Amino acid sequence: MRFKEIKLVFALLGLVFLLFFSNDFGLIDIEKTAIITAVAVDLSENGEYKITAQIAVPEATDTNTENQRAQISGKGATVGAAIKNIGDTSGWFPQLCFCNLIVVGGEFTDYNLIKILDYFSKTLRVQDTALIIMAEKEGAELLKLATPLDNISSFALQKILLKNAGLNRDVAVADVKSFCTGYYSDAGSSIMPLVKVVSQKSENEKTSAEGFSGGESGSGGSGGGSSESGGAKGDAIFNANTTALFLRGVKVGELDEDLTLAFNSLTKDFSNTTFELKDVKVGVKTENFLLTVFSCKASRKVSVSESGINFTVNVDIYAKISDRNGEYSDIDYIKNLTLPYYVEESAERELKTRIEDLIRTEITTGCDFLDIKKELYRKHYSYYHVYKDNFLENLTYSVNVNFSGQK
Amino acid sequence: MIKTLKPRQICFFYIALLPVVKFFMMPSLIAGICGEDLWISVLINALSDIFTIAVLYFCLKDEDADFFTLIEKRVGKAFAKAVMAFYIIFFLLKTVIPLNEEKDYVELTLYMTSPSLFTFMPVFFAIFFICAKKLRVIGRIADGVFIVSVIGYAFTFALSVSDTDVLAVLPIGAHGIKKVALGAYSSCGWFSDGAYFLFFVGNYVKGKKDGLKILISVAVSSLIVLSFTIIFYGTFTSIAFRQKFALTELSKYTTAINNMERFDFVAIFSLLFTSIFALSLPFYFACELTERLFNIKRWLAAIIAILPPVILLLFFGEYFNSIENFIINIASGYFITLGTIFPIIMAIILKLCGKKELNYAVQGN
Repeated sequence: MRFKEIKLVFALLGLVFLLFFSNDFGLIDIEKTAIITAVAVDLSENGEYKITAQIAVPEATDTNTENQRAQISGKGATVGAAIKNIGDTSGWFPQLCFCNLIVVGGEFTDYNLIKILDYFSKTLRVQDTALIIMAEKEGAELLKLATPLDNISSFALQKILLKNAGLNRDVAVADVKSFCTGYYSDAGSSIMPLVKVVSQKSENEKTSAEGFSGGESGSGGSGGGSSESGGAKGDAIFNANTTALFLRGVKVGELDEDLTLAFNSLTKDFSNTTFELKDVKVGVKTENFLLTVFSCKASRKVSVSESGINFTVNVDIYAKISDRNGEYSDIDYIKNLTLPYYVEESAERELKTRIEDLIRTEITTGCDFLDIKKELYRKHYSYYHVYKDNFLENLTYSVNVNFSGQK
Repeated sequence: MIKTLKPRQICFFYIALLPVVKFFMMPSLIAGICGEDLWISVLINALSDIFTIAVLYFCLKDEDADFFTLIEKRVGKAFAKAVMAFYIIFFLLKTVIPLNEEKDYVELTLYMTSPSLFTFMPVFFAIFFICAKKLRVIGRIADGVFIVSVIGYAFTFALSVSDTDVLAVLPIGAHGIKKVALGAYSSCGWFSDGAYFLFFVGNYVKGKKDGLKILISVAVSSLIVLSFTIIFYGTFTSIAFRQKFALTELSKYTTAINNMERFDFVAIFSLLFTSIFALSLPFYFACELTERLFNIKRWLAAIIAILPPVILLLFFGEYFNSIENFIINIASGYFITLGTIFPIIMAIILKLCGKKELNYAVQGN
């Protein structure tokens, strides 16, 4: 009797925990669920937000076809309302937990973006690790494009934003969380990549694209409200090497490709990134070099006194020559590992100039992407109230760059 | 007298069960009050709990009965009954916020749409089952969930520490002593864990260096909460104040999660599993006192203890913001009084009364 009682109790407990954890009551019919892979936020004609959701439509087939895509748009006075409008007008439940990319339209340049991105940071329906980018023009246009290699543009964009190891760290990646923490910090500064579309059209690719669209790919087949669908290969590729700078949510400037690379050398794991040197004087001739970074140790130090703030940047890079366009190739491999003095000098001069340009950009835009104010607050709090409003006006800086090969 | 608990179980109780309930809303609440100084508020509460338990241990370590029985014997029945009544209110108040935050957490983070009102009800059956048992069940729960909690802590910390900006807690004390004190005061409801030790006094098998083991385990428990708080703030910095469900968020920023998806849910579910037992603790001790105070059947006492929070959750959901404000802003004083001040004073009084009794007994002989 006792044993039976214990068994019953355990069975009941098991049932209770099963009900509690299984989430059975929260399930929505999969056939009514739109799995959103990316959203674009634009401004509609009447001043409302226009959200375009890119939806991955899985193919139920045993042949090796690619996933199709579809776009659905919704409008609303707030971002949340516009997303809800997508579900209400299409009848598909917008499932945002797989949404890894948020595209902000280029028309929001004079607009405080926190009004848009705060929703994604607060709601539990979207991961705040979703990457954010700003489109050069309309955000929705970016989602409609297809690249020669990727049918779904958001997948292509994620590939260039989150590059695999071995590729250049040339994109200043930002996600919802990093944008919002930057915005709500004392410095109120945030960054995000500015994505430009580069056309790759050529006759050969045209033929290939036509072949694809006429063959395997078909309609996206989404539910009501779909405005765009398809699986045709496109001719566009994306460039995200420019970085948009924001102060209190409003765009105040940009870092070009060179400055973005310099910024990443200070803030990211820079190993395996390549560094191009043009017109290096080798004797009486000039050559171009490609250096590959083995390791990069960068430190930024803020020191404060009554007379002002000094910002010191030290960068120590250990690199090798991967390529050069010289007339004579090197006799042995070891020559590429020890950097010649003219390569070292040229690389140091180049990177130092870029870092100094970075600091000057911070001073002119007011966007504290180099975290000088953050350092001032954290490590020199006694001076914080003295300099918090004019720290850039009282800033002096020094940059030390050391490039070396194998010694 | 047969002792119901072993010192090991008390140690496991503090390490495995008590930190978990502090992982939901508490860090964001304190961050909203004193920003990066939140860890100082947590440290104040943790030290206060360690001190209370140390005083209780050293004053009552030789006793053979629990705190309430000792009061009944040495001060009087009427006073003991009044104390029990106050502690029933104390434990019932202590159930409200953890129960609501666990309900919110499950409903908002694990369900896509708003689930039915009764989805959370199975938790109350589990709580009822635990409450209906004798004190031995607490020891068994501690033994059972210890490894689950340790797995949860290990995974959570290991996955989240790499993305933590530890320097975010600098500068120390920038928000001033008033805000830090307010942060400590507002979070008292999650702490005041010395009150649980009132039931353990005289109820465990005594052995060598028990006090040291128990105090170390309380310190470890505090260290877990402190580390969690620092990692939490280091992860969210300026938006920490609005991260109500830190438990789900904390470990997802690591590169491993990006590559392998959310395997950190192993840790989250481990801690969620433990938290069901953890939030049943104040219910259990409220039930224990209700049974003693009214001299009624255990199952009836369990129903009486569980009913008020169920009614609050079922019928007063829309007033929960006011209820939470009341508990955080006003009832915190009650938590400090009964969770720290009263046990310390009473333990010293009981110790002195015990000495007097001993002197009389010696003189009588």
